Amino acid sequence: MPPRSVLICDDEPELAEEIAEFFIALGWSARIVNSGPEALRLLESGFSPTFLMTDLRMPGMTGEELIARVRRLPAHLRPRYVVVVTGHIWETMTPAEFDADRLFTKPIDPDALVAELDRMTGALPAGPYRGEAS
Amino acid sequence: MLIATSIGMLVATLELYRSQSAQQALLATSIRTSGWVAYQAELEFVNTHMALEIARVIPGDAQLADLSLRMEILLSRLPILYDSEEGRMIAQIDLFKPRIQEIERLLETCLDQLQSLPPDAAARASAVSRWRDELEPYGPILKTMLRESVLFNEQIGERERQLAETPATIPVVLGFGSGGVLIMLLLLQLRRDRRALGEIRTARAAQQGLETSLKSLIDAVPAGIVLVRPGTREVLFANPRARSLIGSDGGHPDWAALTSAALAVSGETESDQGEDRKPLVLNRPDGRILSLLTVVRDMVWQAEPVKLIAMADLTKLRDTELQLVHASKLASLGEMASAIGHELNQPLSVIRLAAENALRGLDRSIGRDVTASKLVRIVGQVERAQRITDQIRRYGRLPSSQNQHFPLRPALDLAIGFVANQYRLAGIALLGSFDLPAGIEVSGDQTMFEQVIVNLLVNSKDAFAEGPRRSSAPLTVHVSAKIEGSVVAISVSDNAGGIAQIVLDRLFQPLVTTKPAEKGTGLGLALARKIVRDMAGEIVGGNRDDGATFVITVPFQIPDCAAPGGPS
Ligand SMILES: Nc1ncnc2c1ncn2[C@@H]1O[C@H](COP(=O)(O)OP(=O)(O)O)[C@@H](O)[C@H]1O
Ligand SMILES: [Mg+2]
Repeated sequence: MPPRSVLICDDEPELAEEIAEFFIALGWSARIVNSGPEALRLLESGFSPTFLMTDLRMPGMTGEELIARVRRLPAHLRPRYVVVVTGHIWETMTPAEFDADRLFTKPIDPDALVAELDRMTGALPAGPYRGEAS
Repeated sequence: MLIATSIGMLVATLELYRSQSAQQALLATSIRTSGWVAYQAELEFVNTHMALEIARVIPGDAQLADLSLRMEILLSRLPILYDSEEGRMIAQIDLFKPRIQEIERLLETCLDQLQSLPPDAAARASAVSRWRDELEPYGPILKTMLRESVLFNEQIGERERQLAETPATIPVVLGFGSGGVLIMLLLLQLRRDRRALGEIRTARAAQQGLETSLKSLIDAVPAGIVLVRPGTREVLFANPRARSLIGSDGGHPDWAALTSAALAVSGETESDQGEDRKPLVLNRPDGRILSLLTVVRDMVWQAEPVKLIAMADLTKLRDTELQLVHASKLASLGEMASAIGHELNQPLSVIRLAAENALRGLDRSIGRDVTASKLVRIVGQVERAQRITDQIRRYGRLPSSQNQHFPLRPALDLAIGFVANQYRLAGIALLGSFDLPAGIEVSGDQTMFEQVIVNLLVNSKDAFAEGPRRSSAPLTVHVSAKIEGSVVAISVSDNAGGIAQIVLDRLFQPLVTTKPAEKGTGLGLALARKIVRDMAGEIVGGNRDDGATFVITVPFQIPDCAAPGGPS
């Protein structure tokens, strides 16, 4: 299995760190950013992760805005999958509302998260994130 | 010719007199008990005046006998004005008394002289003229008294004045001489009087209708209303609310306690505007203590001057206020529930992952210090979660009924801390500038005060989300506090576009909101005003620059400091 990578975007540094550590322990490569613009900059510089995992409520640029911007990136710069992790307590949300592939609610169950991401990479054809290029 | 004129004048004068008496009698029935005595005196004064006029023109024996009778009657009426129960109710009767007694002496002299009048008509006429001139100046006194004693229906009062003035015009007209003109004038006057009679009847019907509507209104109002006869304090009427407040019917001794207490607190400072509402505590025989707010007013009830006592049950009011506080808190807690949930999920996520990572670290026998650092992180996150739940607990606590001194600065910090994360997430800069002497304290319920600040901050945050802003400046809310003379002024201002015109002048009324039901209750500012007023302070709000500004001013203390003053 090729090494998988994840870009974690959360304004909560401690949480981002713990998630990254968790993936690294599983043999992934993981990078952390604490805001949307930082994430965009990293993606534009050519770091093309398997997953972009982003929080929704962040100061400055929200998760939704980040995803919209990511969708407009050239195809080779886009992550393959976009995953939303949110602390919102509404239960009626669907990933489609945010144009994401998956949606997880905090507090995250790490094992379930990893199992799902594995399933995605195994079950879904490889390729860049299917956002519509503008 | 002269005789014809004289007879014509006599007939006309008598006609006029009859019509006036009829009108006066009609007025009398509408005035009835109240001011009855004043009215009787005035009526007899007018009658005496008419008798004098007639005797002056035709000074015959019959006319003089009639005059004598009129004077006797008037003389008998006058002492009643200051010597009877009813008369004593006329306003300032003691001031009038000496003048009334002057009239009495004058009448006695006239009556004496009347016994020994010469038979010569001219001499008789001149004596009668002299009496008339001497009595004339006293007319206005009785008229004033009558007006003072009764609350006139506007129209009846107007007509009364007209009638009272009419006799004075007769001598002038007589002086002109021409009988024909006089008779025409008098006939015209008769026509006018007949019309006026109709108006008076209509006015009386309207008055009765008004009284009926007033009664059903008084029955329906939620305040207790009692009508009391001023002198005896007898309860004339009590509406259903008043009866249920006292718990018995009129006549019961409890009512005497109520009415005398209410009239006593209303006291001499009876004014008809503003702050004449007096608190009154009443012990009911069943042990309940009523705390009432009373207003006492003079009014006329079924043509009798009475005291109206209106009372609101303050104990009830207090309950309602507490319910309002509670409802508002629950509502804003609901508003914040999602934010709180989000905030709690944050530390929970960190804890969960840190614990997981520590566990895996143990498996791979990573160094103890790594595991220890995870545990430290977990403890830190638990503390963070606890701070959140502490805030909610503070917020949900019941307000204490007593004011206590509390330090202002930490209270402001706690309130700001409560919303800080929501502000951060919404991208709103929250700036504070505090220019306060160290240790400054204010008096009140700290958590309630914090809630006021939280409400203002939440309102500002909502305002940014609500409408398009005019300015493109960064979203900013400014909290400042500084001393202004004897008070400390705490202001919260934003640049979110300002308060909508439609709510601007009703901001602090409960249930005034421009927000959708799931977001706004319209209780926040109403509650804020109540809390700040309980702190002996005031809160005002308005638009300034490109946003809303709310300013709270409250008295302050500085412990261990000689005088409260500006920061050193
Ligand atoms: N900072 C503000 N900017 C603009 N409008 C405001 C502000 N604060 C209050 N208002 C207006 O006053 C109304 C009443 O506020 P409030 O009593 O707190 O009730 P609520 O917030 O539940 O609507 C709000 O609905 C809003 O229209
Ligand atoms: Mg509000």
